[in-house]
Amino acid sequence: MRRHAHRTALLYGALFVCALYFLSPLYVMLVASFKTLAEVRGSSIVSLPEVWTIQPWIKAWSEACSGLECNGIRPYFIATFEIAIPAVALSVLLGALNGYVMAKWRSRFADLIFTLLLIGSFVPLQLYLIPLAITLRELNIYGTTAGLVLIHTVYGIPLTTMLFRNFYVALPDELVRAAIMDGAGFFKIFFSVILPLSPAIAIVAVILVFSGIYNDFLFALTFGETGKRPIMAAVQNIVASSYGIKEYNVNIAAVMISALPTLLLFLVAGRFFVRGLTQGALKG
Amino acid sequence: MSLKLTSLAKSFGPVEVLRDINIEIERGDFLVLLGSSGCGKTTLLNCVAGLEETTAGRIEINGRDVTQIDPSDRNVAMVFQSYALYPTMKVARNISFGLECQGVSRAERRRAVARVAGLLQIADLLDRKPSQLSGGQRQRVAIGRALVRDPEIFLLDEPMSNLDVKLRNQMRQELRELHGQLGATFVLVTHDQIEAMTMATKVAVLDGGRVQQFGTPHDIYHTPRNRFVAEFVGLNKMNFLAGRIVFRGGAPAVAVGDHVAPLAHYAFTEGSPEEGQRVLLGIRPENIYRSRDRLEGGAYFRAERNVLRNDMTGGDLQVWFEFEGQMIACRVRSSRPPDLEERNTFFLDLQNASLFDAATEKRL
Repeated sequence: MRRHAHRTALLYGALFVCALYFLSPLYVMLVASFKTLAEVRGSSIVSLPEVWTIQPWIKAWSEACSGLECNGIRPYFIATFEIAIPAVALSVLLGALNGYVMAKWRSRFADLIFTLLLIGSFVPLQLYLIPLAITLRELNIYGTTAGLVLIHTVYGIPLTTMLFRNFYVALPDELVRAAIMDGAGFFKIFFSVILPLSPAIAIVAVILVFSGIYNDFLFALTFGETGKRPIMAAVQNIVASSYGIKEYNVNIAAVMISALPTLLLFLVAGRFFVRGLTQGALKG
Repeated sequence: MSLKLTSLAKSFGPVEVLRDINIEIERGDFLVLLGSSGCGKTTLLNCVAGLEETTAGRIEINGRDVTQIDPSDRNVAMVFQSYALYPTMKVARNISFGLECQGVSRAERRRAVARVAGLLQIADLLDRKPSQLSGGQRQRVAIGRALVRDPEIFLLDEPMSNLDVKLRNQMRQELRELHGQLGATFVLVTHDQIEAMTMATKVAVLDGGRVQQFGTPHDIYHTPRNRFVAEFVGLNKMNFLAGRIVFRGGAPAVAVGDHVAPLAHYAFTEGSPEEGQRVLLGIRPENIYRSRDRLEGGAYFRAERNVLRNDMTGGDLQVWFEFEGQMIACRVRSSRPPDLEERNTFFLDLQNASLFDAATEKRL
């Protein structure tokens, strides 16, 4: 019994040290973002601010300069959501439809297409840049929000298709057959029978696709609209802007703001995320 | 004529699953497709439902050729083995979903659900989700879903296989009553011969994708058309004795070893047999007695043997003895067990026996 207590103490001690190790950079950033620039440069990085100020956060949000524009990260923040929301919605919906077709309306080509999709999603992104640039130019949406929505939708589909297909394969075929006997058509079965069973896996898909799009840097930098670049490219721009002195406190605040949405998404939906990943499709 | 299958065949690629299926039943018949797993019975049901396309042949329902028609337009309804209730819908919507797909108005749907719920006594379950129901209740809802569409034919795919024995007996009874009430045609797939015997008006025994025999339960049990049917049907397996045909005074008789019995009572299916023809004689365990009084005719074998083994099955005792190189099973009342030390006398009654050609295994 005593030994047991010792071991527990040791375990928690080790976990505590690990947590400390991983949280310490966050702590340094947090305190720095609440210091004045002079204090950032003058004081130890671990010390608490002598004068608390939220000025760096305000400046990062609405005044920081990215290149020649000095509107903070707010416009880029909004631009990112203008891209992410339609792209997430489209790729999740299309992925669900794809998965439904592949799992429940099997044809000889289903496995082949699925394999191709999987291979496609393992090709390094950089390889796509030039073909994508040409395609977007031909479609006349190069450097626009629509262009990025298209790229992210298409790039999200293999992942969402795989998620939904694997989820739907576990659903009994008799469910679809029963609906066919009831006279339901292809879309009626999808929307009335299959989709209502999918919230758990849909949340997983939304989280994965959203964080992918939100954290995208390569496509954002390459195809983003000037002045409306997605957040990751914009933050990089702000941090890298080299006029005058580096405002570390403002840069840090900008980075922290940009990290908030994905963090919040995981905190709010994380419970469902785990459930969706581990849940066998159907109970009862 | 309610359902008529003509030379129906089905292949999955090179694999022939169904071959030359010919079945015809009348309205109000209860057809049971009986066979072991893999015999093609569920595929046949799916073909009738329209869930599988046929490779050749015709399906007629009520005189209408439906071979190429969509499942929902065939006027059939199906109860699935897993029930396949829609998990996200409440019971009421599960039942009325088919009507919803047909564009029936909300008020009419509600009336139809109420009617079915009354019939199956599930009115108090209508607001529940399938996951909140017991196995028996789910079964009822699944039947209700078929019932609400008022189909010409009900198709049931092993509907009782997921229920425990007690519930299964009860559902069997209810299904029979329902069949009587509705007067509709039922087609049920099962591997359970008791289910087939108790519920069917017609049984089709399937094996290897072919109909081995199609007839009333009585025919199937008492005049099996071949050895497969004889062996497959009957809870206690039929005994087979290798013998040959001999003629005594111009009349056919059967000889097994030194034992000879006349076949004057036997209705040969085609013509008379040949002298010396090798046959299999099938005798059910309940047609072997321990007293001469129970014999139904003059055709029998008498054997004095030691009992080698006996299996208690409750009211009956399955007793095994050796006869002409064969282990023979005999059914006796367990309240009067045979003496294991002494020789017992057995009478193998041939009155209800079946004769098969030893080579073709077809009924003589």
